[in-house]
Amino acid sequence: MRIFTAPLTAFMLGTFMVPEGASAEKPTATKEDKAEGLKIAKTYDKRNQGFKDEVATLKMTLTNANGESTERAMRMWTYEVIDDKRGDKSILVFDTPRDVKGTALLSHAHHVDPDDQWLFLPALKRIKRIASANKSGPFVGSEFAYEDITSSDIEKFDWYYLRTENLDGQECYVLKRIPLYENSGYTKQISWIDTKHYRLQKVDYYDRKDSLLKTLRMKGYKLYKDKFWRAETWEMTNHQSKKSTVLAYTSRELSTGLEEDEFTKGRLKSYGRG
Amino acid sequence: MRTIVWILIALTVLPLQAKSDVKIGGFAAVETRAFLEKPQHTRQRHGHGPGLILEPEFYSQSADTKTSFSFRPFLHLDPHDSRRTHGDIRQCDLLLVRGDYEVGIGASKVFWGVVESYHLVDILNQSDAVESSLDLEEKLGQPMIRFSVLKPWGTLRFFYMPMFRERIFVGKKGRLRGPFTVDPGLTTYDHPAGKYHQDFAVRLEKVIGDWDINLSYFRGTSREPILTLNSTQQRMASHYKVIDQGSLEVQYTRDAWLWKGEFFARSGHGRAILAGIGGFEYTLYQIRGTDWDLGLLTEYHRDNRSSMAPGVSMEEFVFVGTRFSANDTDDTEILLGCVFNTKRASQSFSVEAKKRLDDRLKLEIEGRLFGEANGASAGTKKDSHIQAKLAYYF
Repeated sequence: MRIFTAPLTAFMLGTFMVPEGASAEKPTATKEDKAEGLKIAKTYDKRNQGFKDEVATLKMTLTNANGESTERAMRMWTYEVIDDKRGDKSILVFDTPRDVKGTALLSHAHHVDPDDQWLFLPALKRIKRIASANKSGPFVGSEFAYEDITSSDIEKFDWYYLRTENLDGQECYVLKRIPLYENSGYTKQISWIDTKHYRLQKVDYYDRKDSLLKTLRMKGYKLYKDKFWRAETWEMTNHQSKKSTVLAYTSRELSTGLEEDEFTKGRLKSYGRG
Repeated sequence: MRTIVWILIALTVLPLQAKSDVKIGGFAAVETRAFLEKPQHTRQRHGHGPGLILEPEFYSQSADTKTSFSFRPFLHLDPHDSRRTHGDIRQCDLLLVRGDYEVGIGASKVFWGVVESYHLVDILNQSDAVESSLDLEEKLGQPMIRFSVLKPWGTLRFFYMPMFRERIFVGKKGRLRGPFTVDPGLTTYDHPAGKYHQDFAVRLEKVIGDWDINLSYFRGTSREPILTLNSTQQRMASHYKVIDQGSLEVQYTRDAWLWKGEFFARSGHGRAILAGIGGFEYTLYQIRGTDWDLGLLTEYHRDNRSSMAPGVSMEEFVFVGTRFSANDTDDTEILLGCVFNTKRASQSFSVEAKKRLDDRLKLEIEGRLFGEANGASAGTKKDSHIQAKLAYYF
């Protein structure tokens, strides 16, 4: 079974595109502007810093082209790491499907180096260190690829500001980002961030042949701790396979006081017992 | 004594559980086997199923995950072999996580190891050789007290095991056995304390960058019996000795490569035994533009044990395997393997496939094909079979 790498966190939490201070001056360029793109990318990155940790329960609904769907329930613990080289740490535990109940994944993200990942398999009581070289493969059979839920670090992309436009009644920056890391399944991603709160609203993913592959919509934004915007629902639609995956948060709490040393290989087994 | 241990565990654990929600997990399964050839030993039945396996789990965990309890009884009902009809308490333990420390009390399973084809250094739990007479992967619950210290420099674990569980074997009507059955009534121990020899183990687990390194030491009753033929009764008797075993597991993880090794040095069975297994797993991701992954595995095992030591099915072998993952919503996976016994020029082939049929139903198919064999594996050379297991998860 394939699983989330660490900063499902970073991306899911929406650290993705939130400039520092909503009053930051708005870009004025009209064509592809690399400097402006990077400026927006850098500021949204900083904007989300300081959430410390997050404890969440999630439900993932996978729907195939015939409209048949299956669900999986997960719990997730995330610890924020602010560092030049290291990214966030996270533990993800599956509650359903029932045959994989208790399967737990520990991830230590890195900005440039590959992430470190360990998987706990409850039936064998075994912890396996697993390779994280796979970027573009599907995550637990869903329409989310690994790189969709990791790799949000701004250093991993070239950024371009394209334009400002209205999306469903909200004024949005439209940015293009091009993956710099190896083995990406995408030539580019186009993202929409609202100019008011700098929340990621939509992403279009273009495959290796540069044709539109998937669209992600982020819905139901809620404000946590008066500072951090979080989308309660993530909808990923694959235009080519006609399959879709909806990821919904059923509960979420920030800054709960988790310690970094809870995110170790030695601790992973105790998370898988629940 | 054994009953007392269980009662003590129950008394410790049950009051704690009264105030929290107990959930149910685990599974019930129907299993059926088909053997390709007639049995070679007298009194063996053909051995086709169906059998019933029950392994429910009653568990509870506090919201902060710091306190948890798990009770996992096991029952296998087999229509042919009365020894294969057996029960066990796979797990019944309480785990407390407090700061940098962890304490586990009760019957549990602890796995040591990194390689795929053979579990060389895994020693704390006795094998359920009825469930898994070939790979010995299924384990009996081991009563123990575990204490762990989790620090940034690594994890140090201590294990105290007050009671030994002897290996259980298939009966005379069962397949996948040698010419003689093992009689549990004939079991003997070298040590006067017998099965109540107090076993102890300590283990250091460390992660250094891309390296995972585990160092372990075990002193206690060997989990491997020395089997001798009781000539008057035409049955095998198990004899257990106390051993010392030091072991090392190493894994290096880089890109799509996993390099693995396990080694042990053991004394107590005549001259010291040195054994090792090492190899790699390389994964090809998204082959030919699909979502499919293909893992390629190769492992080499060698063991220098003398005739004084418990027999192993192979002292030297090469394993070549491939793991196919469809990465679909059903987690379809197929593992094909081939073991070449380099010393005795024999081979065996295995296939394991699994697929989820719906949220609670899972199908597992397993096949074993034995080539020409002599020596220790000759007893099962007519036991090539295919097995299907349909499990319903609670």
